[in-house]
Amino acid sequence: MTQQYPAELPNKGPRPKEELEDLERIWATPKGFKLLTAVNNTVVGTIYIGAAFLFFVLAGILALVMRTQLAVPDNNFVSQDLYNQLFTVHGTTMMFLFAVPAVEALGVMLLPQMLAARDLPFPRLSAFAIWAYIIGGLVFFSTILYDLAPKGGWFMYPPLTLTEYSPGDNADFWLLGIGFIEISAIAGAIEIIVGVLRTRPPGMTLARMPIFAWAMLIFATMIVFAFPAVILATMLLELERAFGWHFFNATYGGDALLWQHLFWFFGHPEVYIIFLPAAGLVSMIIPTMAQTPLVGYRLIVVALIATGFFSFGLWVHHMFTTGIPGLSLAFFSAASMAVAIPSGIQVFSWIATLAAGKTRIRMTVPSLFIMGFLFIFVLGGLTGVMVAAVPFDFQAHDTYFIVAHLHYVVVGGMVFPLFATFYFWVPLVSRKMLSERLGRWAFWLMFIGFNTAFFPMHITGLAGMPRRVWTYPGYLGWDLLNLISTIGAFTMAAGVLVFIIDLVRNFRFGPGGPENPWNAGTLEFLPNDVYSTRSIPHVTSREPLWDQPNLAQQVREGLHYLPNAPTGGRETIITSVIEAKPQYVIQMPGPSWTQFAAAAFTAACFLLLTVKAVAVALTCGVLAIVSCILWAWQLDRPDQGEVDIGGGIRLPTYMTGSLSHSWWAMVILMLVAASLYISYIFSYLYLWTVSPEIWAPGGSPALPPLTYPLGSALLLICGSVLVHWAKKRLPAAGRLSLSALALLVLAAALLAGAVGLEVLGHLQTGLDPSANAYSAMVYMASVLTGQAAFAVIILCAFACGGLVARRLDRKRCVTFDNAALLYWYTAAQGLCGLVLIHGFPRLIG
Amino acid sequence: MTRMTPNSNRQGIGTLLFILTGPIVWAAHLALIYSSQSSLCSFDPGEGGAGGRDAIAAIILAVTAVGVAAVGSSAFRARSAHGLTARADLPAETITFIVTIMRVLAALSILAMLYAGLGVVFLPACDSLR
Repeated sequence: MTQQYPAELPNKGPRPKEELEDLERIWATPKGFKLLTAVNNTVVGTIYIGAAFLFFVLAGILALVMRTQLAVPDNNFVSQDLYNQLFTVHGTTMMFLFAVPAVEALGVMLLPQMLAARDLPFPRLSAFAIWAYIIGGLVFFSTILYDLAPKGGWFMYPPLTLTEYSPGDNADFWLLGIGFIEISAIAGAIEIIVGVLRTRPPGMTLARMPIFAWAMLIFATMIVFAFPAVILATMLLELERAFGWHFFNATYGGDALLWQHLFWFFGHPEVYIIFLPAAGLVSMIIPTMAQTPLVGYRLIVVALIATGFFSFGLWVHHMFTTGIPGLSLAFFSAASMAVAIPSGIQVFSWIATLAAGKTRIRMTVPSLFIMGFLFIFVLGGLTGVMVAAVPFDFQAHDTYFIVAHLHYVVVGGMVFPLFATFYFWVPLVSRKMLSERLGRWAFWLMFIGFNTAFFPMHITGLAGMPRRVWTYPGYLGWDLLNLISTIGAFTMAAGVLVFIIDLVRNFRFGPGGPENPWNAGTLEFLPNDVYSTRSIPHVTSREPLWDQPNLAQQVREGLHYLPNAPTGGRETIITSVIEAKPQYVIQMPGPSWTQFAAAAFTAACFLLLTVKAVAVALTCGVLAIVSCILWAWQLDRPDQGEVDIGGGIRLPTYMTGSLSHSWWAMVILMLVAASLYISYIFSYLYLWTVSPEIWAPGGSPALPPLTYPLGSALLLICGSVLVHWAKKRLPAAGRLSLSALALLVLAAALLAGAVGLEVLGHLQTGLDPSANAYSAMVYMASVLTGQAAFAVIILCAFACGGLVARRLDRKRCVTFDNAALLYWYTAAQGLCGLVLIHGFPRLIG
Repeated sequence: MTRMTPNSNRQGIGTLLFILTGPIVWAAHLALIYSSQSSLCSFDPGEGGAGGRDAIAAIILAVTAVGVAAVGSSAFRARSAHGLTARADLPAETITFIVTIMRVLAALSILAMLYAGLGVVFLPACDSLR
């Protein structure tokens, strides 16, 4: 790549001393109990990683209990019922409370540093996601202590998890607890997408973006499209358990396989959601350790994107034994094979980079963990290709071979790179490095322990041992292999223990760690403090620290962009998506209790619903909404005029429309909602193919007269037009527009009326939502549009509040734009629902 | 360095969609072949299923051919396709990067579509394998 230096630096030195003092004051981390209000990415990112690691240890302890139970045949160390809870909580915790949060935490912590941004664009959203996850996760995990833990396995298949076979609240803790944590993951994903696309430093084009940023962009986009499917699944199952709406019960025309489709449409991409960020980390560590630019940067980007896409075409490979036609299996077997190609591209690229830098490689602890990752992950990938072959999968399905395969992929593909990350990036948040000596002990114990534990499971599985059995008789020949696995598990745990000792001895949170100890080429190793970098560099290559030798000094002296705080508050530069050209300066919020209160009350609402404390739960829900409104009210800051960021560039400090970062966030949120609704449409049509005989008019009450859906559609369209008119009637600054206010109120009322009319029409036909799968699906359309309408009405009320307070006008109208966008989306979704619910039965009937 | 206009966002979104042409068509291809095949098989089409099975094979092969052709032609005329979707005039380094990524992704997507689509040549349309 051609190296280009700016003709001259954006700012002249020396900079006034007060600038640095201002930055330190503005970005100071709250102390004591006020730490709960902190939003700095390094602080909340470290808390996030700490919590994820805690869950890793806790779920690991459960694994040790299970391995103890399986060490010898006919063992009674734990009861069968407790064993069921153990493997369910172990799997759920590892997947939902450790793996995804850990990589999302790394995104929150590392991305602003890698992009030399002062923070991600929605710091309070990150903090909300983190506290929601911690509170919800701890409550969920604690259920194992009270015999309240779910027992259906981490994928909670019905009919086992229907009320008939799983009475009590155990399964509800999974459904509401995990469903809620998924929402927190989506919040983090929105933050990451907007952060990567819009807060890169000037000059960091797509072609110069760090691979980890690419990986996190794809990771977060996958969350946007994958998680809604499982959120819908958990909603359906909870509605079936709580209210008897039959989606999965075959007696009433439901189908248990619908759960599998929805779950695995999330569940298989989930594996790559975990793996891709880890692969991104590996692609950052290997070039540094080999002191060589990454070989095949473009191909790695291709591989990340291709893996992200193809992983959505694999979900049925978890369902090869469910009786689906052979040709369908072939589609998904083909996709399973296809995804091996981009994975292979990455592995060969890493090997080529190591080979290119073979004379300079430093075999440090991060290098060891990366080598361990390569060995283990390649083995896991190979067995992945084996189980992608349908005939082999028929034999290996639900045996310990699968347990071995998934642990080789997930532990090899994510846990080993994570430990490499701990050792590699710890100087960003710790004043001391971790110990090389203890790190080597940790690595070798973990590496040997892991392979001792899991390699024999391939053989145990091929010998016929099914997964999830509580115990086994001694005459089947599985006892020695299980004993070896148990010894391996404890050896691996010893490695983790050594790492914890290393943390206790050497990790000291705070800035001031060694500066670029590995001689890395990327921006996160620039001099950092609470405000991230003193100035935001102009980037001219993929490894700026290698190609611009004085960059660290220049940045430290404030000679690049935005070396100060021209608005007097927290801020960073928003740049364009492709070329990273500066567009405006975003004013960012500081510490607050609002996002913490919102997280705590939201968690309380969901968890109290689990134990049927409905009144208290609803109170908490209201308090959560109030907290969110206060949070958003503080966010909406007025325009501060144009500010000079250096290099002769003056940027606005307020932006509306499609250039605004909040417009991007709202569009991504609409993609989440659309993804959820598409999953619903799939479910409706799927159940029709399973049980066409229950569809109206033959098997259920006839549809309401057309006046109902047409009336509902008219209300939706009129409401949308009113919002458009309200936009045109927004007042000048400092004025109040009663017509805009009235139009917004009326539009909100029409939206509520549209949903109400639709429900009323079906009620009048006598359609009972608990009658069968068709009726449940009909009302579910209104539930989904109703919840979107509820959010829109709150946003409209918020905009009305802004109008009354004269904080909303023609120029300062981000809150209105967001309300309008979501309104139009909800109206469109409502219209689609009307066409489906009222049109489809007429079409087929 | 010049400041950006609102058009820059449209260019950004257009460029991202352009890069993803191959995978997006692949996703549409998988959705179409799987939904048509599984729904037609659910209703046991035709007398003895033969007519329906021929229809399934025809649909899958046609969708595959269209998908491969669409991705192939957009990769072949990548710069024109980018101009159409993004209307952006990007620096040489950036456009080379974007077009390369798009073309390799297109090649992988074509391979994946052929891989999935050709299954119909070798396997019965609706029968289970065991």
